[in-house]
Amino acid sequence: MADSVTQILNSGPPGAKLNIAVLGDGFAAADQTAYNAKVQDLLLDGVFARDYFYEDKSAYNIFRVNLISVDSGVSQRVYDEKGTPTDASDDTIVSTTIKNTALGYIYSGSWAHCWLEGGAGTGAKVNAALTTWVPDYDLVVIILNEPGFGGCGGGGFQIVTLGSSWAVMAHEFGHGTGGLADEYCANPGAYPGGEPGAPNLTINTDRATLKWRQFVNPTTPLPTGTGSCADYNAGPKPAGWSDSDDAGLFEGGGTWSRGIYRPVVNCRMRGNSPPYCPVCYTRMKSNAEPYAQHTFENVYAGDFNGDGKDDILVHSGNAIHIYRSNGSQLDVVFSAVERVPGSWQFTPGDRFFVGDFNGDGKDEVAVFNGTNWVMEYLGLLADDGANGLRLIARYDNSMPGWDFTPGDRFHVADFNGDGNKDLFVFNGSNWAIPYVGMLRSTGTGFALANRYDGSMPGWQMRPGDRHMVGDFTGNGKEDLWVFNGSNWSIPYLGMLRSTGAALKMSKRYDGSMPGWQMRPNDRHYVGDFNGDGQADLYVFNGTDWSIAYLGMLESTGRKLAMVRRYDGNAPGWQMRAHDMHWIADVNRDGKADLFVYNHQDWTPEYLGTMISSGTDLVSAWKEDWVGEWNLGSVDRFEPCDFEGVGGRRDLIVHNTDWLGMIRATPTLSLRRIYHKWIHNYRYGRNW
Amino acid sequence: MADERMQTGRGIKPVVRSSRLPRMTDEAPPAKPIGGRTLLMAAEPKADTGKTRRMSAVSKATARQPKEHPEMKARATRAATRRKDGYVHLRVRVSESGRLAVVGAQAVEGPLVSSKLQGALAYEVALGGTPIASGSIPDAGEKRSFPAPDAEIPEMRGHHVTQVPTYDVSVRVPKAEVPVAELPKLEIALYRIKEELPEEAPAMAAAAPIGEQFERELRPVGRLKGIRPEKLAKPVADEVKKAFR
Repeated sequence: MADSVTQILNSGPPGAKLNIAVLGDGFAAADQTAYNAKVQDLLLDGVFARDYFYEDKSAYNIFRVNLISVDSGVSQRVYDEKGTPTDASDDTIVSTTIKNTALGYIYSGSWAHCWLEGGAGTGAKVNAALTTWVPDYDLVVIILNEPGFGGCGGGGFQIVTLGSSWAVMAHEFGHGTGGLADEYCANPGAYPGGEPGAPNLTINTDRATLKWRQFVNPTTPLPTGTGSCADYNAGPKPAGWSDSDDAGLFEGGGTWSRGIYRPVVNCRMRGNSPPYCPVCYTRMKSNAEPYAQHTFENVYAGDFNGDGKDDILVHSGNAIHIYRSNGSQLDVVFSAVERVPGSWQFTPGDRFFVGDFNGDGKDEVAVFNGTNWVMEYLGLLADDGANGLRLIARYDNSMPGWDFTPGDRFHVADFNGDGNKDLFVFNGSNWAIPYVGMLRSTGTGFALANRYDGSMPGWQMRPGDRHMVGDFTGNGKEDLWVFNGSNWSIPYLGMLRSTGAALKMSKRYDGSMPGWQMRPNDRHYVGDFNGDGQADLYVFNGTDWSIAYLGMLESTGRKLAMVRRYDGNAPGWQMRAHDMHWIADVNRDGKADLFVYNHQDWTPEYLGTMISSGTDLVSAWKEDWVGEWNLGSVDRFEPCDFEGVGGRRDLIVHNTDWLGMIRATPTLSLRRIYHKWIHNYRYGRNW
Repeated sequence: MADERMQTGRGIKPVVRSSRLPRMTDEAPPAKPIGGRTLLMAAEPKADTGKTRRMSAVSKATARQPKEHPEMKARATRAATRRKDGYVHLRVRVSESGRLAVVGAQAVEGPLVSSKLQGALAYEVALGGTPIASGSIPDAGEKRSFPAPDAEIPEMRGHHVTQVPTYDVSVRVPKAEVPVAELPKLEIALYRIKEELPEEAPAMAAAAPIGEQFERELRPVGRLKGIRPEKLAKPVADEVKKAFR
């Protein structure tokens, strides 16, 4: 068996990530399975399965190097510690038993000797192994095939025995990647130095200049704990106080017991097992930010656990995160980089379509990639039973009856009324003729229910066709709406009724609808604005006329009737060319309302709601700011129900660095705002 | 630009986008010629009879999901592109006196992301006085024994920290910026981060060296002025020349 390397966490090119090289010493050929299991246990199932490291997996690569030692186990050294186990200077070597191992480490079990040490040539052997197998490393973990306890860290290295735990390793990574200081106090003395450079220690007790003041609640007394390695003792500990998440000023840290302060009672940098405190967490996040490359650009809302509250899926490059909503805040519950079991490999061109494709009350995710691979792929990701997703179906290049091409556009709709969302797919750009496919969900995949080549009943397809979905008949089967304003001499709108397995033209409008003269730039929003169970149509045109128009056309089940047309102004909203709309149900009355946003036509930006009475609209809006959210041109909105109250009265607003949770009732207001990452600090925030 | 704000209430007139554009009427729209012709959709379009650039006919086959899916197939990347954005990982030895020496060099393909200047040390690489890269080294210069959790002696429940007189750090240099012939002009400055740098501080200084920009926060540790392969031990010289080639 030869030496080898296996990348066990593949987040991206080494220069764009923090690279962890894992080497083994004293593992003979027969021990390699045990070594692999230990690496898995310590790193993937240990450090990277929990809190900060789980969230930021995409900042790291892990390379497991299998070095084959001749002997099993490592060399041993026995020291005579002369009764002073904390002082190495008077120690003498009693015996050394050398084994022939790949790196030549010697285990002593002596704390003062860092538990272990290198033998002759160990440094060169380690360098040679790194040069050969992981030429660009940031952190090095060396696992010794030694059952005794111990480990030696420093300089980005940690050399550990089989007796080491993931928690100690995570603590050491705090030093190795975050430059964090220890927060425990093993030394009974007082700290003799000046202000430490580390972000999580201080000698400053002034609230106004304290370096982690942003995380300290003004009601928290400072210092919060005084005395040797103090717990909270400035009065009774408040109800609900968290020893690892609530920041204050606690005496003891940096190994000293007095004269220096740490931010919390017990952080990972003190007790190993607790998560990082707000100060350390923020440092770790900030440090890893250039490598994690997370943004809030691609956000999808869906109820992934079926609790009635919409969660969000955030896609950044080759990583996805699911953040669970509890009604007013988001918490990470799933983090995947590069792939999910099944397997789907995430890339920047992935497009996600959220819906309950198997009727289990939880949303699944259909994902399509037509740009990043040799061929196109369609996948279906479903609940993995542990808050995450796994691939349950994948179609490579084609599925029976449909050849995928980059221009495929998907729409989620339950066209057969079986309770499983299905997919309509349209391609108007990659073939000589346009195609529409009806991909029926089987719950475990998709099957072609029907395909239309070039034309549908009563509709000649063209590349510029734009599709909407909505059940205008009210029979439980979602229908297809299609508009074309660019490829014909007059615009057309078609309402195609779904029979479950086919489409039938219900009504086609040539050039005009009742009370509405169609124009190329008409924009359509399908929603049941009168609550009669039949999907109706909002239509807006802000560019083809001298003033903007908004029409409300109700479905009679077979065709449309104009209910109301607003010319220039809607009640409470002055319409302009660049108004953008989203279907909502702000007041939860079962009538489809609209969110409306305009960031181009006025000096400030406007975000509004247009609430339908069934025959009319009433608008309200916020100008420039919604709470602390400064509305801008880069903002994108995802209507949803993160509160879980029914209807669709909430918005996730997001751009590259910011994400906000806005609710529309009683007025538009901001519930939460997150910058760069989603974390709910007990007090304060990371900006 | 005038301060334009939305007005609502009775009697507010609609905003006129362009008075040259018409208002909507109940009349049918005029047919707009496309390519000189009037194109209108037929009531019942004819079925497609073409043969080229068509999807294959729908069959009755069903898709079976394999037990395991193969790797998704990556596009071939061009080697030339990969070479262009490579970098060199230099291993630099720091002695107690602050002397820096190159002890290893490896070329690495792919993009290089600058780290934030946080942690124990920061470095800057300059060529002919112009900064070309910077980065941080969070943890350097010490050795820590893991705490013995059950030790009777309290001190042993913490790290035993030993300062290391000589240690190695990693310095990353964008390859395209440094031709082999320019190596003698390459400078590496190493700093101790004494105080936190402002969060917004760029890892890569735009104009001035970081030692000047953050004089208060950084303290010089050492400086390597020029890499001269002929003065390096042969194996290291070979690595350096190969890496920057």
